[in-house]
Amino acid sequence: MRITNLMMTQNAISYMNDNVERINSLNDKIASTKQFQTMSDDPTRAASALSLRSTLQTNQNYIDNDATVANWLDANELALKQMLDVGTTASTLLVQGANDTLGQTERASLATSIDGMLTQAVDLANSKHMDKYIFAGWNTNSATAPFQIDTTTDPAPPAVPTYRMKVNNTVDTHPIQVNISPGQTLTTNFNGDTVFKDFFTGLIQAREALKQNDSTLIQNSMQALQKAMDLIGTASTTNGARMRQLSQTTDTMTRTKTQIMSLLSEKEDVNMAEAISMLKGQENTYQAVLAVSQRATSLPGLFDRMR
Amino acid sequence: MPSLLSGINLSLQAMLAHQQSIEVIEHNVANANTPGYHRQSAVLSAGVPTSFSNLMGFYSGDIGTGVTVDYIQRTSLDFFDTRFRNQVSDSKRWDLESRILSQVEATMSETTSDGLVAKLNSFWNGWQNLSVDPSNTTLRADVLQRSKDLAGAITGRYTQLTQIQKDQNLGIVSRVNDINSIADQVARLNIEITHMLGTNQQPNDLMDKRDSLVDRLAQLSGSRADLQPNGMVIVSIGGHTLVGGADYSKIEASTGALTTTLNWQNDNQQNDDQPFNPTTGELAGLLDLAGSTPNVIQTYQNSLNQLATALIQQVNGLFNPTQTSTDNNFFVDDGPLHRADSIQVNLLMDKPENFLPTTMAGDGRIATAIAALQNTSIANLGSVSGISMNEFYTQKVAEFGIFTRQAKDYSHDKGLVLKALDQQRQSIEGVSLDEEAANLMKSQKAFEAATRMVSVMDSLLDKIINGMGAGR
Repeated sequence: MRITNLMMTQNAISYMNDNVERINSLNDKIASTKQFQTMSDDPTRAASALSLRSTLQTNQNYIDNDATVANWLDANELALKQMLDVGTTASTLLVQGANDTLGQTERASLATSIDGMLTQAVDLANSKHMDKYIFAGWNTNSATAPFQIDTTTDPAPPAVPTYRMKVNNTVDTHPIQVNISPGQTLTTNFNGDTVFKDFFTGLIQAREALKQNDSTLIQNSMQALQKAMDLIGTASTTNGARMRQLSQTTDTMTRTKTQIMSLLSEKEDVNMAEAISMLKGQENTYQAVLAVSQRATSLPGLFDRMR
Repeated sequence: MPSLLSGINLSLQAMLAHQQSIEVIEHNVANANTPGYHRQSAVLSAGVPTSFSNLMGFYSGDIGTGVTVDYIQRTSLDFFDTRFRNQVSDSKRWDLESRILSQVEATMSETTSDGLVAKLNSFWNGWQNLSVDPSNTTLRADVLQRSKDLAGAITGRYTQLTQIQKDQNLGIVSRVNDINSIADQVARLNIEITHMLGTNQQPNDLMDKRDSLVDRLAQLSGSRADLQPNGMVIVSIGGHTLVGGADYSKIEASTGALTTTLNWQNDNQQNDDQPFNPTTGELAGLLDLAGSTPNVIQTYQNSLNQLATALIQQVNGLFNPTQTSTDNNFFVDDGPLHRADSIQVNLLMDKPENFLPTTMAGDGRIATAIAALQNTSIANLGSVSGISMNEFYTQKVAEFGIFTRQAKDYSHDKGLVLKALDQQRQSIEGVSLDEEAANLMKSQKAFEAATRMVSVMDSLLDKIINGMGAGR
C-alpha cells in the first residue's frame, strides 16, 4: 500500500486519541468507583443497578421507620406495665382491706388510696408518645385528654353522695396499621376503651366497697379487678408479640439489605485492582504510541537527504 | 535534415517540459496537507517524429522531436470515492446521533442520585414515613418537599427534552440550507469544469473542490454521485436528482411546532413538492431523533407523560377519592397532553398542617395507600396488565440507554470502516513527500542534462560559425 505523509499523521493522531480515550474511561471508572457513568455505558447492568438501588432505598426507609414503630410499641409496653403495677398495688390494698379486723376508718383511708390510684391509672391511659395520645385510636392529637374522670354528681342511688363514679372517654376505636415491610402490616395500638374500661370500673367498685365497709363487696371487687388486669396483661403480651414480629422483620430486612448491597456492588462497582493495573498498562501503551508517533511523523524523508 | 538550431530548440523544449514537471511537483508538495487534494503529475510524451533525408535527399528514417507535456493528470479512482461516500453518510449519521443522545443522557443523569427513579423512591418513602406518624408536621412538610422535587424533576426533564428538540430542528434547517447552497455550487462547478474540459484544459483543482463538496453532500444527506463522460457530476438522493448537471433542485424545510418536514422544491419539474426522506446521512439522524413524527426524543417525552399521568391519577385517586372537587387533589396539571410539563403540587394543599384530608390526626391510611403505590402495577402502564411506575420508568431509561449504546457502537464500527476506506482513498490520491522528492530529483537531473545539451549544441554552432571556412 502506498503510504502518504498525511496518512501517517492522521493515523498517529487517531492512535493517540484512541489511547487517551481508553485512559480517560479507566480514569472515570477509578475516580467514581463505578463501572458505568451513564446508562449507555452498560444498559443492562445499569438498569438492574437502578432497580437494586430502588429496592435498597425502600428497604432502608422501612428499616428506619420500623425503629419509629418500635418506639411506639415501647411506649405501649411501658404504659401497660405501669398500669399493671397500679393494679397490683390496688389488689394488695384490697387484700388488706378484706381483712375483717379492719374497721370503717381504716377502710375509708384505703378507699382514698384507691381513689388516688384511679387518677394515676387515668393519667397512664392518657399516656403520650411524641406528643400523641397512644390509646386514643386515630384521635391522637385531640385537644383534651381522651380519658376524663366524670366529676358530676350522680343523682341516682346508691344513696351515698357520689363523685368520680365513672371514667368517660373520647377514644377512637380504629386500629392504627402500619406497613413494617413491603406488604406486611402491623397494628401498633390498643383500643383504650376495651382495654382499660373494666379496670377503671374495677377500681371505682373497690373504692365504693371499701367505703361501704362491706367484706362481700370487697371480695367481689377483688375478682373484678383481677379480671380487668388480665385484660391489660393480654394486651401487654400481644404488644410483646408485636415487638418480636417487628424486630424479626427488621432483622430480615437488614439481612436483605446486606444481600442487595453486595449484589449492587457486583453490578456497578469497579474491581479496583483490575482497573488500576489496566490503567497502568494503558499508560505504558500510550507512552509507546507517543514515541512511535513522534518517530513516524518526524522521520527524515528524502527531502532531508537532498543536497 | 535537422539543423543544429533545431537541436537547441529541442533541448529548450525538454527544459520547459521538466520545468513544468517540477512546478507540478511543487504544487503537490505545497498541497501535501490540503484535505481533498488529489495528487497531480505531468504526463510527458515524446514529440511527433519527423522524417529526415540524407544529403542526397533520400528518406533515411524518422527522428524524434524531443519531449512535450501532454496534460496534467489528476490521480483519482471513482470506485474508491463512491465507496467512501456510501460509508461516510452512515458513519456521520450515527456519529451525530450518538453525540446528541449522549447529550440527552447527560441531561437526564438517570444513573446518579439526581435521577428520576431516585426521586420517585424518595417520594414514596416520604409517604411511607408519614404513614407511621401521620400528624407529624415535619414529616408532612417533608412529603410536600419531596413531591415538589419529583414534580420539578419531571417537568425539568420534559422542558430540557423540548429544548434539545428545538435545537436539533434548527440543525435540520441549517443543514438543508447547506445542501441547497452546496447543490448550487456543485452545479456551477459542473458548468465551469465541462467548459474547461471542452477547451482542452485540465480543471484539476476545481475537480478537487467539487469532490469535497460532493463528499459533504454525502455526509449530510447520503447522496450518490455519478461522474458523466462530459465531466459533469450528477448527484441524487434516494433516486431523486439533486444536481442534474448544470441545474439543481432545492429542498424546502417547513418547521412545525417541534418537527420539520422536508419537501423537494423543483423549479420546472413536474414532481414538485414530493416529500424528501433521507435514509442516511446527518439529516436522517436528526430527523430520526428530533424532526420526524414520531421521533426518539418525542417517544421519551411520551414516556414521561405516561409516568406523570399514572402518578397524577393514582395519587389523586387515593388522596381525593370522591373527586367531587378538583381543589382537593394533590397534584394538578394542564390536561392530558401536558401532564409531564405541567405537573405540580396543588397550591391549595401546600400547607403541612392541613393537607391530608382526614378528620382524625392519627389516620395514616391515605399515606399508607400512596406509599404502597410504589409496588403497585398500574393497568395499561407499559403493558396491558401493567407494571409499577418505578419499573416502567426504569424500563424506559434502559430502553433509551440501549438505543444510545447502539448509536455509539454503530458510530464506532462504521467509523472504523470509514477510516479504512479513507486510507485506501488517500493511498491512491494523497501526496507522498518521498515520492515527490524522488520525482523532483528525476526531473532536476533531466533538466540539468537538457541545459548541458544546449551548451553542447552551442559549442557545435561555435565550431561551425567561428572555426570553419575561409572567412577567418
